[in-house]
Amino acid sequence: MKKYFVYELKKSLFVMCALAVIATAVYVISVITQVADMLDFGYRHLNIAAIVVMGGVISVIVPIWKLSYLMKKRSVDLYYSMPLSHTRILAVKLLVGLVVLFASFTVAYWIGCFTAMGALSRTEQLKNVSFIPLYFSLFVPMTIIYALTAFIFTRANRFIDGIMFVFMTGFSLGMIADVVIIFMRMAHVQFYDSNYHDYFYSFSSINFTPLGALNLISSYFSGNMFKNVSTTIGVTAFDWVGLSLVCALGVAAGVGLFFAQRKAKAENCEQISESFFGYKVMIPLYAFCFAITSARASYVLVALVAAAAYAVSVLYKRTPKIGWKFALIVGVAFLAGVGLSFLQYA
Amino acid sequence: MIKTEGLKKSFGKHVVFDGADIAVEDGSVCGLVGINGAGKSTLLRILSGVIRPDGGKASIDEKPIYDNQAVKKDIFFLPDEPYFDSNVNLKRLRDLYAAFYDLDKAKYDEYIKIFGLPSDKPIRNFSKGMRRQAFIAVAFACKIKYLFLDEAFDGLDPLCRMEFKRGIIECKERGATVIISSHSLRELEDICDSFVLIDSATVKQCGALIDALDNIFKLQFAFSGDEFTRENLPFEVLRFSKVGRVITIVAHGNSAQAIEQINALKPLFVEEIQMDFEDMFIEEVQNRGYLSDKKGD
Repeated sequence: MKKYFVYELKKSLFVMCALAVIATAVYVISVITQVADMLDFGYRHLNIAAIVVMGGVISVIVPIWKLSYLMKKRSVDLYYSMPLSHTRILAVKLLVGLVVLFASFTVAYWIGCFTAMGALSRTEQLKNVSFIPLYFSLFVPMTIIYALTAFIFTRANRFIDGIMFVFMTGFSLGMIADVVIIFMRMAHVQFYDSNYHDYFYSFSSINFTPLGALNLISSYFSGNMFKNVSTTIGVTAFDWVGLSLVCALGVAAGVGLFFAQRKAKAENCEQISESFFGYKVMIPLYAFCFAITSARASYVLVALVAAAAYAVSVLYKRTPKIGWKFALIVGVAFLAGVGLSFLQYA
Repeated sequence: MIKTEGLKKSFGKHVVFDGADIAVEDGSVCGLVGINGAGKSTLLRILSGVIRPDGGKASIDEKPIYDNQAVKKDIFFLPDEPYFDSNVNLKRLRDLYAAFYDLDKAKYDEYIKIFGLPSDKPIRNFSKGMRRQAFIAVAFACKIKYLFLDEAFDGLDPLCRMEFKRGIIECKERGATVIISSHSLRELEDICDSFVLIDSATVKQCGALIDALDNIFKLQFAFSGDEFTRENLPFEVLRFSKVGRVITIVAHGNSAQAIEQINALKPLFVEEIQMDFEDMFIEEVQNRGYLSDKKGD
C-alpha cells in the first residue's frame, strides 16, 4: 500500500501544482484589486471570498478527479484486478486527494495573505494574526465538502451522472429548506428571536448546503480583519440546524463511502445510475420545488421547469422514452408543486 | 490449482454462467475458448477478482479470489482493452505496475527492446498492436504465478506472436499457470496443455487438449451407389455431409474403430482427415446450432 501511495502522490504532483497556481492567481488578483481600493479610498473591509470559494471549488474538483477511476470499465478492470483490496485503493486515492487539496490550498492561501499583509503593512491596520484562525477554520468545511462530494459522486455509474448527482444533491437540502419555509408561511407559523425579529426574514437556505459554513466563515472574517472594525454575523437557530445537519451528513458520507465500496459491483460501471442519491429522487424533488417557487411567477418559467425535468430524465434514462412509471412520478411531483404554488396565495 | 465449482453469474436477466465447473492444474497453459458473448472475459474477470460471482465458488488453492489481497498478489490480469492514462508512457506504465507487483525492470526493458517500442512517446499514440506489446512486456516482467490474458493475440503481428508464445512457454517452465482466451485457436494449439470450452452458460468441455483431439475425428469416404445416408452409419456422428458420392463425417470416439466399421460396408475408399483445435471447435459449436444452416445435411 505504501508503494502505491507514493506512486499516486507522484502522479498527482502536476495537478496539485496547477491547482495551487490557479488558486493563488485568483486570490492574489482579488487581494491586489481590493488593496488598491483600500489605499485609495480608505475602505476597511477585506473580502476573502475568493480564497474561500477556491477552497470550496478544489474540495469538489479533487474527489471527482481522484474517484473517476470508478466510472470507466477499463480503469475498474485495472484497479479491481490489482493485488490491493478495493477499500485500500479507495483509501489511498482519497488520502492523496486530501494532500492535493490542502497543499494547493495552503500555498494559495498564504501567498495571498502575505500579499495582503505586505501591501497593507504601512497602514498598520490589518489584524495579521486573523489569517491563522481563518486558515484552520476552513479545514473543517472543506473536508466536509470533500467527503460529501466523494460519496455522492460515487453513487453514480458514469462520470456525467456523478457530476449531476453532486450538484443536484448538494443544493437539495437548501431547496427543501426553502420549501419548508414556504409551507410554514402558508400555515402562518412565526418564530421570533428575543429581539422580536422574524427568523424567516433572515433565513438563508445556503446554510443548508455544503457551502453554508464557508459562507459564514467568509462573511465573519471579511468584516473582522481590520483593527477597530468588527462586524457581527446574524446566525439563527435554523442556520445552526442546517450547518449541523450538513456536518453530520459529511461525517456519515465519509464513513458510508467505505461501507458502500465493499458492496460496489464492477459490472455496474457505465450502466444506468439508479442510486436514490441521484436522479431517481432528485428529478421529482427538483420538479416539485421549482414548480412551487415558479408557478405563480410566470407560465414561461413553469414550462421551462417541465422541459428541464424532461431533459434531465432523458440524461438519466439515456433515451427519450423515459418510461411511464418514472414520467408519472415526475409529472405528479411537478403538478403537486404547481398546485401548492397557487394555494400559497389562495 | 484454479477451480470453479457451480459458478453462477448473471448481468440483469442475462445469464452468463449457470453452474460452471473448471479445474486448471498449476504449471499448465489453458486455452479459454467459446463463441462471441459466451462469457470468456467474464470468467477471466471472476478469476482475477474484478467481479464477484453470484453463486458457486471461484478459488485458487481453495482460497476465494474476490477482494482477497493475499491471493491476488499472485495474479496478473491483462484485459482485452487495458487501461492507461492519456499521458502515460512506457516508463510510467512500468511504475504503475511496479507499485503493485514485484516487477523485474530488466526483464521489462528487455521485452521493450525486443518489440522495438519507443520509450518516450505516450502510449495513446501507439497502434493497437504496440499497446498490446507494451502490456505483454509488463505481464512477463511481473513474474507472478497466475497469468490471465484476454484476447491475447489480438493485434499482434506473426513475429510478435512467436515471441509472445515463447514468453508463455518460459512462464510455464518457471511454474506459472497461464489462462489465455483467444479466437486464434491455431495459435493456442501450439502452447496449450488444456482447454475450456464455454457455451450456453456452462462449460461444455474442459480437459487436456490432446485427449479432446484424440476423441474426435473426421473421415471421408465414398460408395459406388448414391443411396448411402446418415442412418446407414453404425455410430452417431456430429456432422454428416454429402457432395456427390463423397461423404464427410465428424464424430466422437476412436477413429481406427470407425474406419474398421466403415470398411465393413465396402466403401470405394475411406481416409481420415486431420483435425486441429479450430476444426474441433467449429464442429462442437456448430453442432449446438451456432450460426448453422439447418436445411439438411
